[in-house]
Amino acid sequence: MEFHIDKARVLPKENLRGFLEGLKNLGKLIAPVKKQEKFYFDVIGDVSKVELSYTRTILPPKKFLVPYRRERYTYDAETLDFSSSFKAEPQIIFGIHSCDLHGISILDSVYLKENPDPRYLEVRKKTVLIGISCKPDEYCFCMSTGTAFPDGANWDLFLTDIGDNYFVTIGSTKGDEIILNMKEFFREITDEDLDLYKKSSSFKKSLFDFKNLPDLGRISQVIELEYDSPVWEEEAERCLGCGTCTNVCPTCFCYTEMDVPSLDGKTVTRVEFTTSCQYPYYSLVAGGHYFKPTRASRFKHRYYHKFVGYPYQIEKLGCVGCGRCSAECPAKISMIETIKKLRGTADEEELRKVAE
Amino acid sequence: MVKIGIMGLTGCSGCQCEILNCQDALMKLIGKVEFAYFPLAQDNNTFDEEFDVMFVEGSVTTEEDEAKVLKAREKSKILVAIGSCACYGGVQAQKNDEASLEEMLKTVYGKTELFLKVSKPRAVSEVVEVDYELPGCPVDKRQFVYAVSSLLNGVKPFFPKIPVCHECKLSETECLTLKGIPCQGPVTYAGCGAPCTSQGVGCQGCRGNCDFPNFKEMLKILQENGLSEKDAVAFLKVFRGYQGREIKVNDEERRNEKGA
Repeated sequence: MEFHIDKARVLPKENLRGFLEGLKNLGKLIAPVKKQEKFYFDVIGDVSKVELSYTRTILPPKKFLVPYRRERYTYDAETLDFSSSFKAEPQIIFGIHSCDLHGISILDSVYLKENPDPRYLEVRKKTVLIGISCKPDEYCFCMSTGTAFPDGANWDLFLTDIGDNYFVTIGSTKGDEIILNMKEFFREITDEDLDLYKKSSSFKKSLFDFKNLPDLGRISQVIELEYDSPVWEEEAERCLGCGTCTNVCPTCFCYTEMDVPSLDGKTVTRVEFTTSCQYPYYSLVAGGHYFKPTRASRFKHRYYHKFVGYPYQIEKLGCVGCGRCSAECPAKISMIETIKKLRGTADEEELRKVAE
Repeated sequence: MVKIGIMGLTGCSGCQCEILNCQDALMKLIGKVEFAYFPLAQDNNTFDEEFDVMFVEGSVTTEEDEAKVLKAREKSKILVAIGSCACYGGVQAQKNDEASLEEMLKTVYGKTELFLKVSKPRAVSEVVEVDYELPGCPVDKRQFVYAVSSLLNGVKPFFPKIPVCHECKLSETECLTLKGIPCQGPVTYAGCGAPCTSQGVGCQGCRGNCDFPNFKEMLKILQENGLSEKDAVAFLKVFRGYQGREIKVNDEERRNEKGA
């Protein structure tokens, strides 16, 4: 759907609760909630628990589109009759940041572009995505990845905080319908609202420390050119290989599967679960050969896939700058720092001195 | 009928109790398999015929243990070590490479002569060939049931040796290492479902090593989180038994630092 500013509406903040209650009538409402110091997406009963100004959730909303552990089917060991209990239920994911919407858009490309995955398609059709504006912290680099603002057409509604109100942009006909059905909560936009909305993007930009942002220009080439760089070894020295970076990534999609027989041996269930390229067994093949035998080769593999593999596959970077991999890494390895080191600009001051 | 044996060597019998806790699975199994040998749970046990699957709990520490496990190997088609004692030597093996047997006996019993002949605690795999290992202190019930249903149906059970961080992160637990709590998750074999970290307790490493653990970085992080190097090494070695041999206080590096 094209962007129609005349269709945008304003949601006064005092109406948000009513709007969220109304969303519950459309299906399972999912939104960020707080757990100790962190946030996570969860099914909402009490809408007052919804966190509106969170930084980032531990896991991206991906888990409601492609669950981390899923049963593909069960088959009868003798007759080989297959059965599946899969059923997509209507769900509304509320409060998604721009980076995660872009993450879902990347998953859409991966799962739906060629040979669409019927299950993913079914789930996506029944899912409403409602975004919300955010403030970046030191781990965010969505300004570099071009994902700081929602665009494209994979989301339904997006709420931008403009002070006392949310400026609601509509991304799909589904979103348009939701507003029509709950029009009592919304009002028409005024010139003042529009002005505030226009300012909101420069406000978000002003919150970034531009010095700190990585330069992703020609990043695919840089990664290719630096394929043999010693930087990979240096960074991988610290890597624990724990797979956190890929498990929390909004665009990672690798999984493995295994057949689990029942105790009586009558049925077998095929279970799929998320895995990570950072685990040695990921590249282990019959005969005991590892395609990625060293930690450095596995470490490099992730960057290579994100910045070379994805652009080749889906014409987009595989990174949306959400900062989860850096924020959650137990060894505090930072994607921003690795990229800077690869570009040889880890120490900007030093570089400037050389230039002088 | 499939014959199963469950044997205990030197250990706390906690893993065997954990098997008894798998009530639903045991009820389903009772009609299909014969528990020919399970002294902890039943009176009439036989060791005369061949076993299809033998589960062994505990470390090999006494002469009797060694004789039992050698016989078990001879009589069993598949031998599975269950629990960290059987898989790695367990907590009783944590000082194996630091103290002699005499020192250990003197410290614990005050004398070196005991009524039975003992050796340093060993993992079952250090004595006989082991087909599968199900580590954990205690063994994980779900893994046990999965292993049993796979083995009974002739399927090789699949246990990727990935770190505990995998299960911890996917259950959306806040990273304890980043919070400053000593946690062995990044170097420990997953499969437990990360129950300790979800309760705010750092991983104690009871399931042993994951594939290619990065102990160097782990030791550095544990020290940043408040442990001395000696304590960090001791912490990592609690459950790892023979797997912990490579973890050492880096004397050489320290000497170099002093010299520099």
